[in-house]
Order: sequence, then C-alpha cells, then structure tokens
Amino acid sequence: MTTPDTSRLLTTVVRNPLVHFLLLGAAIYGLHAWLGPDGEEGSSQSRIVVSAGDIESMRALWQKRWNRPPTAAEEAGLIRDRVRETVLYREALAMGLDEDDVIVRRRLAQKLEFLVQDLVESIEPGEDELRAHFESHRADYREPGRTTITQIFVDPDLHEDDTFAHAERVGRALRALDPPTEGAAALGDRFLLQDYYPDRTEQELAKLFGSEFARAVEGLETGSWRGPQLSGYGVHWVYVHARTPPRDLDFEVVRSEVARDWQDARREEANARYYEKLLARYEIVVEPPADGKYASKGPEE
Amino acid sequence: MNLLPTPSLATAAVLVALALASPAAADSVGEPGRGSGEPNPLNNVYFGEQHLHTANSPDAFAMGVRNTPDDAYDFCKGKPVKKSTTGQTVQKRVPYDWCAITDHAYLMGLLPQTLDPDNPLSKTEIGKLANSGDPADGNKAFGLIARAGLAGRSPEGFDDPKLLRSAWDRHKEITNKHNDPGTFTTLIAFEWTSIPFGQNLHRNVFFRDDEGPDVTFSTVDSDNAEDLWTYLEAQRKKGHETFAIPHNGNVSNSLMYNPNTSYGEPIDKKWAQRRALNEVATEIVQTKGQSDTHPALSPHDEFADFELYTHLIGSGGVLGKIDFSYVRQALINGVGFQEYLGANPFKFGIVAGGDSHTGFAVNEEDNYTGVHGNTDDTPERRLSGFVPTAGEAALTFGTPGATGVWAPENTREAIFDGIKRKESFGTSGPLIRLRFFGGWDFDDDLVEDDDFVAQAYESGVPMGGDLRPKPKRAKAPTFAVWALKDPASGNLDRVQIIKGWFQRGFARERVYDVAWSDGRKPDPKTGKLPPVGNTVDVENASYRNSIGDSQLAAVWTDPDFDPSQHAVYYVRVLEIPTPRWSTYDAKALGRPIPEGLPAAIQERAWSSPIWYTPDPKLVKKLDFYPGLQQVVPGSPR
Repeated sequence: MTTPDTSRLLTTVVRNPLVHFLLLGAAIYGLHAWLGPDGEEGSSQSRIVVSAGDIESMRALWQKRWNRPPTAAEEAGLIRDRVRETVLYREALAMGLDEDDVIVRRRLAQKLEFLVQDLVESIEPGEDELRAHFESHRADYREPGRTTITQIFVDPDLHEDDTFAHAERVGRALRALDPPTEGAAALGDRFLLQDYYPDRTEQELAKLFGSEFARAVEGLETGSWRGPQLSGYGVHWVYVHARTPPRDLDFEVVRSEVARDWQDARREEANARYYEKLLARYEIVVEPPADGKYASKGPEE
Repeated sequence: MNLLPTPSLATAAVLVALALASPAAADSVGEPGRGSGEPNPLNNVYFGEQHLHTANSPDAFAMGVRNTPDDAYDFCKGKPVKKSTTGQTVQKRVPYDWCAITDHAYLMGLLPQTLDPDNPLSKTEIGKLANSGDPADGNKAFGLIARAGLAGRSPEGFDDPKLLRSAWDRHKEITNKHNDPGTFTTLIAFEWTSIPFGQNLHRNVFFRDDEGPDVTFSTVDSDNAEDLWTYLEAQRKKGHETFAIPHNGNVSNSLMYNPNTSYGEPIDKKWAQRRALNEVATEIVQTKGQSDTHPALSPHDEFADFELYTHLIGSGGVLGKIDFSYVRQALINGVGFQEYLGANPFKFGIVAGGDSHTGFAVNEEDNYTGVHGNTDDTPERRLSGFVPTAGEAALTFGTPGATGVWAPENTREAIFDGIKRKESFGTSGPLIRLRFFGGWDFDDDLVEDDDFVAQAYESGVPMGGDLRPKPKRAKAPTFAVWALKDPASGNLDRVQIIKGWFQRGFARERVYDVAWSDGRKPDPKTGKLPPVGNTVDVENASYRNSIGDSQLAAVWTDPDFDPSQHAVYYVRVLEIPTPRWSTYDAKALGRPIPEGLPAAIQERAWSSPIWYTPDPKLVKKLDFYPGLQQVVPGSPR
C-alpha cells in the first residue's frame, strides 16, 4: 500500500518526539471525548474539530510565551499545525506505530509518572500535616552540634617507627599540663593547621582533618586529652574543651524545607503505591535468555 | 626534613600564644578553618569550583542532563543529589566552600524550556531531538546547536532576546538564593564560548556583586576576546566588578596565549594592559586535560606528561598546535613582554576547575561519575572507548580540578577579591593546602616559626604578588612554601619551584625540587631526585600512604638569580602515585585497564606565580625578542 516516499515520511514521523507528545496528548483528549457526555468530536474517525475552547487555549499559551496575542496569520498557523498533527497522529495510531517503539514506550511511561507527580505537587499540605512531618523527622531539621578542640600533631614522617612511642610520650606530657592546654602547642610537631579550633561542626572538622577524624572527635569526652587519634595526616592528641549539642530548630524557621521534603516523600509514596497497584494487575514472566544465563544475579533483579 | 621546633623557638611560640588575649586571635595565626566569626587577616583557604555546567547549558541538555543549578549548588554543599541520567544518588565526600556555575551564555537556560510541550521551543527541531530520549538524537541536537553557534547565530526559534534575558534573571536569582555569607559562597557567572574553527578560546566571566549584569555576552555578540573585554569594561562602569578566566589553552591551536591579537596584529602595550586587567587568572587543569605545559615545550620536566588532552574540540581528531597553548610558556613570555613592551599581558593567577557538564563538581578520583551527561555516566560507558561526536572518548577526560582561594572569610566579595588578587591555586582534584611567599630577607628557618604566615605576609608577598623592589644588600630572592596533603588523598612526593625568565630574547625555564619526602638523596652526579616509588595495587585499585610525607615545607633561595632578568616563579606540588579514576572503574567491572591509560597518576597542585621585575636601570633591552616577535600566521578568520 505505502509507496517508498510515504513510508520514509512515516519513519520520520514516528521518530519525531513531537509526535510522541501528541500521541499522548491526543490519547488523553480522545479518551475524554469518548467518555464525555457530548461525544461529538470523537464520534467520527474522519472528522477533526478544532473547538473554540482549543483556540482560546492556544491564544492563552501564545500570550503567556510571547507576551502578546497571536496575529491572525500566526493563529491560522497554529490551527493548521493542530490539524496537521491530529491527522498524522491518528494515522500513526491506526497503523500501530506506537507499538514496540522503545522511545514511545519510554515517553508514555515517563508521562504517566509525571502526571502522578503533578497530582502530588498540586496538593497543598495542611499545617497539621507539615507539623506532623516535622515532628517525626526532627533529626533532619537540626542545627548541627559544635565542638571546640585543641589538637596536637605527631608527624609520622619525622618519627617513623618511633611514632607511636613518641605519641605516648607526648600524651603523658600533655596530661601533666595544668591548665590542660597551656603550652600544649610546644609539645607537638609543626603543622600547617591550627592547634585550636573553636565551635566547629563535624562537617567543618572533616574539611580540615578528614571525615574519619571528625567522626571520632564527635565521640570523645570533654575535658581531657584523648588519643592517639589517627587522621590522614598522622597521629593527634585531642582535647575537647566544650561541645554545643545539636539544636532543634523551630518549625517556623524550617517551614519551607519541611514543605519540600513533605512533597518529596508524598511523591515517592504515590509513585510506589501507584506502581504497586498497576503491577498487581499483571502476571510477570521473565524467560531465561537463549544461553540460559542471566547477566545479572538472577531474575528477581 | 626536620620540622620539629627547637626548644627555644617552641618556648617563644608559647609566650606569643599566651600574649594573644582571646582564643579567636590564637586561632588566626595560620589556617584557622571556618566559622570563627571574624575575618582572618592572614587568610583561610576556601576550596571550590569555578567552572561548572548544568542542564541550562545547551550541550549538557543535549547529552541528557536535567540536573539544575539548584542540584549543582546542593551537590557542592555536600548534599546527596539524584543524577538525572542514571537516577543514582551522588554526593561529595568533602563539601566545597564555594561554587560558581558557568553555563554557556549562548542559549543559557533555553533548552530546559523545550521540556514543556506547551512551549514553542519544544516544537523546534532542536527541542524535538533533545527530548527524544535517544542519545543519538541528543548528539544531532548538539550538532545543530554547535553549527548555529559556530556561525555566530542562535538556532531558529531560540533568537528572542527576551527569552535569554528572563532565563538569565532566573539564573541570578537561584545563584543569590544559595549564597550564604560565612558558610557557602556562590558567584554570578557565565561562560563565553568562543570556538572559531574548533579552536578553544573559552572564557568564564565572574561578577562580584549580587545584582550582576542585565545581559550576558556570547559568541553571537562576538568571538573576539577584545570585544569580551569591552563588555567587561562596560559592566565595570555600571558597577558590576568583573573579570574573565580563560580555560583549555591546550586545545586553542596556539591562539590562547598568542603574541598576536585576534586580528593577527602583534600585541602592543595597551593590549597587554587590557588583557592583564580583564583576565586575572587562568585555568590550569580541568576535565579536558591540563594546560600547565606539554612535554614538547618542557622536555626537561619529567612530570610534564600528565593528563594531556591534545585534539581540538569536535575536530574529529585534529591535533592542536602546541606553541602558545600552555600556561607555563605564557607566564614566561609574559615576563618577556614586560621587558619588551613594558607590560605583561599574561600576568595571571592560577585556578583549576571541572567544566563538568552534569551539574556535579566531582573532583574525587574514587567518586567519579562522569562529566558529560549520558555519554559517560556508567563505568561501562566510560571504559567503552566509544567516541561521541561532540568530543573525545571518555577515557581521555580527567576528573575535575579544584581551586583553593586564600581569603579572610567565605563571602562572595572575599572569594572574588582573592582570585582577583591572584592569591589562589589550582589542583588536579585533591584538596592540597598550599602557602607560597616570596621576599628578600626570609630566615632560613622561617617555616619552622609558629608565626611563619604572619612573618611571611609582613616581610614578603604571597602567591600572585610582585616581589618588592630588591634591597641593595639582597643577593637573590627567597621563597617560603608549605604544602599540606589532602587528608583523604595520597601523601606528598615533592614540592617544586618552576622558574621562567628571558635571556637574550629567548624564554628559559627550570624546575627545582625544593622539598621532598622520605629523606631521599638527589643523585650526586645529575642532581636528580629519585622517584618516590609506587604503592598502587592496580588489580584492587588501591594504594598505601606508606611512602611520601603529610606535609612538605622549605625556604628556598634562587641559586641562579640574575638581577637584570625579568622572572616568574610558581610552585608545583606532586602527590605520590594514586589510581586514576579509570583504574577504579576497571576494578568495579572486573576488567583490565584499557590499553594506553596510566593505571596511576601523580595528582598535583599549582600555585599562582610570584613575579620579579628588575629596576629598569639594570635591564639592557634588546632590539629583537625571537620568542615574541616571530611571525605567527594569524588566525584563519
């Protein structure tokens, strides 16, 4: 039936993502028309109606995009495009071009996901819901704790095999100090970083000493020399002067953050629920590949 | 080397420490970190990214990237972010202190609008191709965008200036939203992407204020750097303090640091001054290779062969010309121009960057997730050797670099001023801390003093500065350098000072080892320092820090100083060998490393230079400077 020319055209059309958009848009539109009380537009396969409402919405979109209404010529162009797209779309559907096309499949699946997400985004959370989310996720809305330390460095490049023995000697000398950090600097080796760091968060200490050291400092008791403590640089003794515990923030301060997280959580839930519901309608069969071997660990993957 | 203070010095240091009244003051002696509340007159180092693309860059979008500037800033801050092309969650191990997003001014923010099927841009050919979900179509879209860009115009449908203007306003708004003085800095920025005939002349443009310019400047406006400077000068007059930073001289086909103007005319004093004023720094390394130097330019530099990226962008494999394409040669020619013209066009500081087209500044070698959208976002794709038409095989790209800026506090103004002052350094990724000072009367044991930094600022100049006039009694300049390793990366192998100068009209360079690890002895005959060794276990993609040192420091006096020669000095710090990202990928896939790739690399840091300008009375100016006056065929335009 199809000449080489038209088949080339159709190939172009089916690869055209715009068509994919339209397939979907028209599918929804068509479904609505078919189900709706006045099925006039969908009543005939060979009839295409561009309604007054359609033209209104084209104008509104144009206005939004270009800050002016379309000219008569532009409007005629919009209508021509709409008709052309609808013709091509219906023909493409009729020919089953939407089937077994990886891009169409992906596009449709994505679109459905977006639709579900849009639903979530349009739900405005109530005050109570936000507060409940805030209460149940308090740890996420905390101002981090801060620690004030003095650290003394023992350089393994200087002491080599004697490093730990030397560190022990430094530790004994540090513990003998009174007040405990006075003169401490002189007992350590030269180091480009400071001895004294007031009010640092764990993240800030990680930027300076690496994350393992920073985590370890979080667990040290205050008011005594602790060590030897390892970092990416070498060996340290650490004196924790004081610690400000993490502080819960007022709901009002983090309100917008809570609202965003609430919506993220709802979206993930909605997606999962929606997919579960759809999945339940299907029986899933994964056949083993021809060579009988799965590339991954097994079919459950 | 022995860094242990002698008892007397230590005692003195304690006394000094006690004399300082408040803990905050004691904290500001060296590198006090962040959040103490007060600006530190001796400066802290702040690490960040100054070159990053998001979905708002048309090429990134065409490669399937949908991550936004919001995502990019969140990633820099250390938050977990979902990567759009794979859905995987990515996170930096060590957050950055600052970040500038430099999306292409050309079509900035327009491609994401094609996602909206109601937007007319979605109906354009580029809009359709870019959203088809097929990487091959993405490549076609990229081709269309690039072709229009090369022709100096916007593709059809994308040429309404109102569209660009509102996208730029939106970008500034988001950038300001993420700027949190004292905690995290963002800079308003964009990239001017001039690439005549595939010759990379790209510059990133940065602003100091919160308002930023009303309009950007793209290749549609001009692809001549001189016109970009005119734009910058106009913005400055309007109160938007600004500078530009060029990148990828390595693939500029000899144009980036050329002794001729864009019009093929030899540069003159005024041109040199304009360039130095408008281009205060240069990017020495990024994912498309390093631009420090090429083995052909520096045959005696045994570490020059590092992350070379030599084919012109999108050329399908044309090797770029080497001359005038690299930073070191430019720095040295710069002091030649200082002598010859009385102005140095290449008086710039050093930064490094990513140029990642994903939204993610992934500077950590073992945490690398690719830099070009859907072309290199899995280990399989990265190691496949496949060459997307937009560039080279993913194997050729390195992990993004990082920039350290010395600044009194972490604010937009302080970071901007630090780069402008050239008190910055670049690294190939690791967060190596690097101090570098030059003076005439540093004590030999300056780096052993507890108030080393205060003394060095007092009696010398930091990186990016000009040596003060030579005192009569001084024989040669001395330099104090201190490097501290990244606690999460390899130990340090050595610290080198690279010196460049002009002699009888010719450029000269020499690399000096000034501090090294493990008490190695240089060969008594050749003076060459033995290699540090290699602990990399290729199969397991691991290494041990059993070699190298945590920190290296030295006070070094130039042994070959001639007071009549203009000279430039900068530092290079080398880490011990550690696995390249491709070695981690090969391990993850249980495969051998693709042929031709090094299993291990020596990551490194480069300081901004310190310059010496002789008293004009000492200089015997020549009539002819062969390296500067040779006729270079003008660019083909």
